Amino acid sequence: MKPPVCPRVWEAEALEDRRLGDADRESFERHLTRCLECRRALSDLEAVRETMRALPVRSQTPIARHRVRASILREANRHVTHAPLARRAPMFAAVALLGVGALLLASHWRAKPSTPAPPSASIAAGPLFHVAPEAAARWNIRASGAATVVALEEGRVAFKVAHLEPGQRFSVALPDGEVEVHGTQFVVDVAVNRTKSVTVSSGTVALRLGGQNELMLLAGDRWTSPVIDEPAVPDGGSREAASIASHPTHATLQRPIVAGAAERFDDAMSRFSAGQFGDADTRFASFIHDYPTDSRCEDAAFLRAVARSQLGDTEGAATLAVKYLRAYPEGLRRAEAQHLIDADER
Amino acid sequence: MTPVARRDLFALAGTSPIAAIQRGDLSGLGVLFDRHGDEVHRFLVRLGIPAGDVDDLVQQTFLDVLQAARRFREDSAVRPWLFGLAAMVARRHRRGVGRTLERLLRWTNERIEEEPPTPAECFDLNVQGLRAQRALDDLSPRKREAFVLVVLEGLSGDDAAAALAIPVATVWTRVHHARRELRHALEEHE
Repeated sequence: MKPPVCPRVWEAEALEDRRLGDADRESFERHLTRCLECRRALSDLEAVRETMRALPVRSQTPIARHRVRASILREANRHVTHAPLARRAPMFAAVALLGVGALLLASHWRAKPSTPAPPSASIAAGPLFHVAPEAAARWNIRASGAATVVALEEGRVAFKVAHLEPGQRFSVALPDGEVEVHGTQFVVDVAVNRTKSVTVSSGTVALRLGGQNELMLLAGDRWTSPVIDEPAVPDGGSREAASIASHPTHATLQRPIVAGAAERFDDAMSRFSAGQFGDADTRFASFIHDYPTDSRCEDAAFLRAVARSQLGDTEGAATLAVKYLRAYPEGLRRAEAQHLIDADER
Repeated sequence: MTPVARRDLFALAGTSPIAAIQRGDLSGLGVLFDRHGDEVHRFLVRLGIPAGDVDDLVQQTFLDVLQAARRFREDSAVRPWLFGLAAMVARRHRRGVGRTLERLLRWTNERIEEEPPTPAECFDLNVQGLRAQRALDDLSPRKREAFVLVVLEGLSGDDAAAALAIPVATVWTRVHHARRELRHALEEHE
């Protein structure tokens, strides 16, 4: 014979799911002290929950996480660039113009690699640039809207890129990473599917190699690969002699002029992170004054406004936000800057 | 972009990364991933997505955000909304895998045996754990979604219903049946 079923046993699941109101919950909790069957039902539900929660869930490694993040942003950029034709018809026309211009430019320079660089050519909405490849270099240009990508497979190519307008992008795709440009003059050397060196004459470039943090290279910087290739042993020569011949003779990163910029920005940032907003504001202002062409100036200008806001100076924050928007009308933080202005008006 | 630009400045300025995405500012997508990437990853693992596919599905979920952001209401919670997108991505994935398996089965006319756990998995899970994992794997996808959202991820019935685009009563029904099946599966071997 089956034991009688308590008519309130269903409330155990409702309690577990937080579906009971205060009065019902208190009533059922009182009932639980007297009803073994309901206590057992609740205990079963808790056991299922805890058993399932105890199952191990393999988490992502930091490297995998970083890779997925980079991949999402890369794909997202591509999606935006390849939005439906109907919505992007005007942009498509610009892309077509840009592509034709870039191809003409590329074929012209490829045919005459040793001739001096021709005068700068304006290419639709894309950035203004010169490319001067060595004769043996293998490279091509992919242009899309305001973005231009030069894919460098092998050899040495010198670039000169005019200061980029808001929205414009210029990057060099390498076999093992990429170089993003912020209006500069630089030389990239690639061999055997690996970037050998990047030398910056003026401006700023961001070097991103697979599995490594982004490296900002400023005017005067020269980055060379720390990896030493195992060379082929020449006939009749010793392996030792070949190894000595291939060893790099220069430092991996030579930064004679601009080391102070990064240190000063980090100093301002650390004060900001420590909540010393007054100090941070002063230091960011000084950084902007001393390094007006540094790519971090945009962050510094925005963080000044946030620092004033954190100090309770909403008017000062709004003034700095207005200043930020004037300097960077297409800046990454324009929405947040507008938010600071609106907060002051409220 | 400099390392500073990657920091969660949206939080500092008190604005939403989804609002930024709605305006076409993709930096919001990176911030959204930094905040919720781990949770979406864990949710997909708990839905039973094979380890080799989880990263791809996490990526697809966040790419779907680009389209779905237009429909996001400012007063909604972000986490259940992302779980809803992830659940849809997982369903599409299962349908794709299911079709491929069907074709393979027709072609080979063989039954695919369930793979035994690897030695590493045996080490991680005790016998009871393995039994629980099998019981979870045996749930239908719909019951599993509801159970994972409510019981394992701690969402309210309303949030789970919004995430799965089903009535809240259906959520409770699925959770109830999932619990019953899991309890029976665990009791069978005791």
